[in-house]
Amino acid sequence: MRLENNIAIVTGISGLNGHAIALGYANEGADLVAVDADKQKAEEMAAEARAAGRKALALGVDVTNKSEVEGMVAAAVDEFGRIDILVNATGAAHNQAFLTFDEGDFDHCLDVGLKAYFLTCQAVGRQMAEQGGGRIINLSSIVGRLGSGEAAGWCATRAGVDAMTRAIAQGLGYYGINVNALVHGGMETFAYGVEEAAERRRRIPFGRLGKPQDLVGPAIFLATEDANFVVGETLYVDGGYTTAAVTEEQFRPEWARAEHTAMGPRQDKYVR
Amino acid sequence: MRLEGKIAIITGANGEFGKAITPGFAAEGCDVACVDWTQEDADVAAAAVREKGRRALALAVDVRVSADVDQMVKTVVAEFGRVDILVNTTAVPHNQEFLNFKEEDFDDTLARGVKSYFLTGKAVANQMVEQRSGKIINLSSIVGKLGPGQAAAWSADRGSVDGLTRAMAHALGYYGINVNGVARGNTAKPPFSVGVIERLRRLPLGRTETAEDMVEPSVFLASDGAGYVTGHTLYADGGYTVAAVTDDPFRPEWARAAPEA
Repeated sequence: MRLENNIAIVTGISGLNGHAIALGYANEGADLVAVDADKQKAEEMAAEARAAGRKALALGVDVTNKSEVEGMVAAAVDEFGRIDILVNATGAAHNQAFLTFDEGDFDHCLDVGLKAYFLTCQAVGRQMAEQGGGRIINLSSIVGRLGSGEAAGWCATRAGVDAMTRAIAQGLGYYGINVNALVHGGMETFAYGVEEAAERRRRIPFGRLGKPQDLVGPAIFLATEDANFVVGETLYVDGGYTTAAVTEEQFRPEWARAEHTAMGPRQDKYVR
Repeated sequence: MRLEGKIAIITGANGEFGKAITPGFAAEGCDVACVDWTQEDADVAAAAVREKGRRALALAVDVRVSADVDQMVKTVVAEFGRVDILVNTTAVPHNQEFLNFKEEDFDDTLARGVKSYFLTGKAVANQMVEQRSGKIINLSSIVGKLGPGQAAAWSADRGSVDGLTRAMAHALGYYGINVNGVARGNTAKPPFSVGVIERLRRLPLGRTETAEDMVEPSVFLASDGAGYVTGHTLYADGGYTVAAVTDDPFRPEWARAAPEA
């Protein structure tokens, strides 16, 4: 129970990744402040944390609104007395063709996926500074490093998160607050076309896309003392995707070659 | 004359870097639509272009407003018939201590930075796809890669610009349009703060950057020779982002730390 006696705020818990991390934290002994724009979803998350034996508070919060974010911190402190961990997991991609990319969608991407992190880091950071320490984890995506033609808003947002994480890490480190980013890649849960999914899998030797559960161990690591000297880092949990080039056929095991991987998930003994 | 006959739009044309890039492009044979926040600044930039013997437009445009940006492109095309190059240079850091960083300043940095690059990039790209060619260059900064404690908004903005550059490169490559970034370093002038002196220790070239240092990298990215470079941010930072401290015994004697006072 590596997070015993920790109070964790997790935003965006209605998303599969935020949900997995929040539940993972609860299973490691953390009490939970479940935050979402959808109060109902926050209540459901809190119920799951209680079923795991933890205390939980559910809050409906618009994390793009500064006074609501400050209210979130006040409510969390009111309930639990302190905040040890913040996980930011809000975001919207609004993927669409660049040439006709809707301005309102672009604004919304930056608002809920970048500015929200600024607001929560600042408000929670103030509380953590008074306590003398804390840990902040900003969920990000490989689109912060790799450019996708339909993802102008999403790429700008998550690249902004990665860079801003470094600056905030420097700004808050003086107060004993550790700030890092946790980066997910292409997920099995995304609605890729069959060809795109196959192309992506070709670059991941394990032969599968990511699952929300893959993020839990790294998220726990970044929330514990084991990560004390890991600062301003972007931890990639993407199966090797961003550092991969295509491996030529003749250098793959036979069962990993194109005819076996082109359609659908492949069955092989090394899939983890 | 590597940009002979090209038509460029340069935003922030009379800004810190626009001031050098604008006449720098004109000197390479480029006609320039000089865009800035005020007519006065646009006029100064346009005069510098004409002084180099090229044609110029002077346009005051609020590049945060999509209707104004769309009109900007129409005006340039009406005047020059095409747009070959877009250079985005607008930027407002608003550096502040993080815990008290003002929300409105965070918003302002993003609006004048990445949001304006999105609007100008999209509007100009729609023109460039008709031409099946074009070069877009987004000014960036070392703070997109390294995080100073006072630069939450500036890092967020320049990091976002870098991400946008990559996404646009992938959206527009199909149409023969290259999109790249050119990242600036620190341009402080003497007297230097403690922070700048510390930075200089990591700069073997022993000096901070001048606006002129950004001209050639930008010209290169705008030229035909850079045809297979896309989605890349070129660092013109004196080596800062890849530097660690070099210990004194390994420096030439004249580059060592001053003796303690």
